[in-house]
Amino acid sequence: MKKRAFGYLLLVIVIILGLSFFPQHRRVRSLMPHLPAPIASEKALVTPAGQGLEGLIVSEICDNLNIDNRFMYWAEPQDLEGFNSLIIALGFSQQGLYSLHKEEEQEIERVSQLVQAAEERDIPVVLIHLGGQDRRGTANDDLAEILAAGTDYIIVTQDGERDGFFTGLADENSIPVTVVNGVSAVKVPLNSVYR
Amino acid sequence: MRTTDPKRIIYALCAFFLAGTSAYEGIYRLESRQVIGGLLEEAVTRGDTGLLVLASFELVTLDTLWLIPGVLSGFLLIDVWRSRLPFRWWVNYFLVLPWVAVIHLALAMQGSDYSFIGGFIVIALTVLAVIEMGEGRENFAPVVLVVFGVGMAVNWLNIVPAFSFIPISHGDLDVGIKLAAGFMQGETVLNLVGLFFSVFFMFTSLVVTLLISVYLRRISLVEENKVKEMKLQEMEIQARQARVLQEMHTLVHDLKTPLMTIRGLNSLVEMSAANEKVAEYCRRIDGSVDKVNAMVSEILYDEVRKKITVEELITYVRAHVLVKKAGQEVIFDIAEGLPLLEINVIRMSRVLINVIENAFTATVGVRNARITIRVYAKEGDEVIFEISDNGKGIPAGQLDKVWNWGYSTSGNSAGLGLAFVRQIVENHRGAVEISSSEGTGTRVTISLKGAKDSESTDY
Repeated sequence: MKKRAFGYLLLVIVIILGLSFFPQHRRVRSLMPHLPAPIASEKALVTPAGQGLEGLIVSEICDNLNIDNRFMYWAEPQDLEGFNSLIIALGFSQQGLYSLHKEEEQEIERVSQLVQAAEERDIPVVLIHLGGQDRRGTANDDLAEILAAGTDYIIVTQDGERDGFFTGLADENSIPVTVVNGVSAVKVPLNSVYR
Repeated sequence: MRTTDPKRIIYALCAFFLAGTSAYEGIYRLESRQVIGGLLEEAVTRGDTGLLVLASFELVTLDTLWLIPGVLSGFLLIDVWRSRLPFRWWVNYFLVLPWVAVIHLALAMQGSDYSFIGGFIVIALTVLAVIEMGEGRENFAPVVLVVFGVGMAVNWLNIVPAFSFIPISHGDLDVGIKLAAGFMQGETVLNLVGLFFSVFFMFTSLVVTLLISVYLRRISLVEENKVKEMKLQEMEIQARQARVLQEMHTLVHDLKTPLMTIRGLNSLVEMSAANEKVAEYCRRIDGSVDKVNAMVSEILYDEVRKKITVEELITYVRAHVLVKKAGQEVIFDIAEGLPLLEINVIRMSRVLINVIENAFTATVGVRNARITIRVYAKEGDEVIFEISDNGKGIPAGQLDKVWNWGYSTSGNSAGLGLAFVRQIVENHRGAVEISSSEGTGTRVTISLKGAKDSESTDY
């Protein structure tokens, strides 16, 4: 019986180790740790792109950094009135969309129009991606490509940048990009946007 | 799980209902996720790690509860139809994997973000656990416990930030929880809580599996020993029976010597008898000695046969058995024109006496007890003896054991009766059948071939 129990324990360990050796892509180094000079001023409008929890988290980070901001789940072009910068937290969440009773297409259209309106009003746009590999995939990547053209700065966590997707977007659109280790490390580059 | 066909169908319907519940991404799932999402937002806004752990607990529990019906439906179907599947018993359980794959496909088509890889790890581990429990498991409760335990263990592992590198978590809220933990710097807390619960549930499942496995092995050993004991008992009974038969043979054989003496002396008396009446008595004594001699031969040698009418046989049986009558109503229904029988009268009468005595025993204490002995012809030359009673009957599960040497429903009998009955009837190229229903009564049917050159008793 002991041998069997040991066998099962060994099997669980082998499964966990086996999964940990899943192919991982190259690790991308941060292209710049933060912006050399501020590019935007307060007050910031924070909105999620995909209705993930990231929007609220970014807004809370702004609060921690004493960046004057307002968080809106469903910010539309007319809501930009009175704001000097726009922060978009990318990450699609089925649960988030369901709670607002919205579809993916509606969300893509809203965020695209919002970025376009910000560009027209000369309002700097910061695109933040915190969700790592789990918040990548068709919908997220497609929206990132659409938004990149109107974005002024990209901050992305290392887990979501294993394939160099965001650095590639930044290169294509000639915009600065910062790759950070985790959610709490977003503070430094985000602060550099305003100060 | 041993069960009858109608029950099998009911279990199968239950399994399909469970599978349907698991495969439907219903509004209740979306709403409950929304509640957890709200809790998560509150945790982020208030910076409360306790709320984060609470949201994790709710998510893990709900994910497990949604997983269980689908997995259980697979195990239930395999358990119920296991005997009809073509593979070895343990290979059958791997069929749960494609079954749950279909359920997951249905979920994926509805846009569910359920962690499929995690689900498959749960099923794979549960299949191993169920196989470890052994073939003798009949209860479904251990499977439910193990599925729940393993489900909780794997789902807790899903929300542990330290194991994010394992590509098993793709759930919306799993990601949200890890992001919130990263923001609130509560990763260590979540790592510890998640690992603790994961190890706890995995350990519990392992213990349940091993306990069930050990318990079933012990039961199996006890049953094996029981079978061995039964066989030993059977052999002892056979040896005892052989000894008794041997003793009886010797005793009966010894009867022949005084019989021969009686015959010899009787013939001397007959020769020297002056009185015709005395000579007549001597001839009668000689006739009786012949009869006793024939009976002794029948007792000693099974193959000895004698032609006899059914009425004669029944009269002989009645003389021996009805004295024991204890309030039961006994009905004899003998058809007319029955063929002659060519039988070992002594042995065949013992057969009928045995069966009738069993009927008497079965009807003791029964109100309006009735024993019917019916004899009729079938297909011309076949004679059927049908002895039925309205006694306590034999339980269905024990009906096939009544022919075994040593089997007895009453504690007073050595259990040789029906085994003896079958042996004698088969030696006469006849057949014996028994049908019984507990609480209703028992019927024993003995069929014997009539004598080949028989004359009808009417002749």
